[in-house]
Amino acid sequence: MPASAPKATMSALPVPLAWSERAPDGTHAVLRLPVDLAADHMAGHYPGYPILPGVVIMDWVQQAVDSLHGAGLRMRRLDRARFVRPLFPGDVLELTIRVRPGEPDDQAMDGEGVFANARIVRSDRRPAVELDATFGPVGAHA
Amino acid sequence: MLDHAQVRGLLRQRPPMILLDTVGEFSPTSLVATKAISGSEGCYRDLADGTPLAGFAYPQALLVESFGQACSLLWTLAGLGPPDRIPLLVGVSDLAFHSSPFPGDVLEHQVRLVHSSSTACEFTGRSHVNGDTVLDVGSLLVASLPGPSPT
Repeated sequence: MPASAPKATMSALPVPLAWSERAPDGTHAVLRLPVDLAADHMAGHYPGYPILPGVVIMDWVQQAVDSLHGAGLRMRRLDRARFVRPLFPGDVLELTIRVRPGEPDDQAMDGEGVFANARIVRSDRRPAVELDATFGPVGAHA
Repeated sequence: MLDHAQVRGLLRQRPPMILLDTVGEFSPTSLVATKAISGSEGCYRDLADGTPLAGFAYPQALLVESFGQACSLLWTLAGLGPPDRIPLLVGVSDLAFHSSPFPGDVLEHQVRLVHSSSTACEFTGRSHVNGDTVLDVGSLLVASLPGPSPT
């Protein structure tokens, strides 16, 4: 696994417990992620009606890409994300991420970036989130 | 102009998920809001001593959440949905992240309403630090669902 440089996160992945599948070439992984009522962000989102903030998924996808490809990549574009079902505490989500090399002429990637597609299903197997993002080297500008 | 007490009174979120400080301008279709980033925020709590500055880049998830809270304030102030429902992020597209904000920076979110209906509202906008764009938001879609009213 590539070493990860320290990076501020919203919600740290429970690595390595989260990883249930992981392709050696970094192109595909499956993570199982509990929605923890005790997490800081759940206390304020929302009192009496806790729902996992959708942006936490962005943070998890960034950390998954860090783990698969090293911490030298940063999300440059969030091309599309759909949050179709709410995610409640007590659930265990399955996040499947697929990563492929970026286009050589994409300026956001500086020739070294990747595209990531992430899908989340709830434990009832219903799809909840789909996200497509473009990652480029830290320091490059979109 | 809304001070922080007023902002807090309108947001449904509570600490540590209150990610806006003030509102500087407001019209029924636009809003400008600020958030100061501090090194004491929870996202920096677990960084080890000696972490280089790059490690203190404000997490993009929190940047988008803060922008989304500015959208939800416009949703509330403009009466775009029933007050007994909470606005929830249901979709985004075409977000571009530019230079990273760091502790000490003040985010200024400029939000504009694109479309509203009885079921959802679409917003667009950007976020700046000292005049430099840190985030462009092509589209952010909010829908409301039943939930607690502001306390």
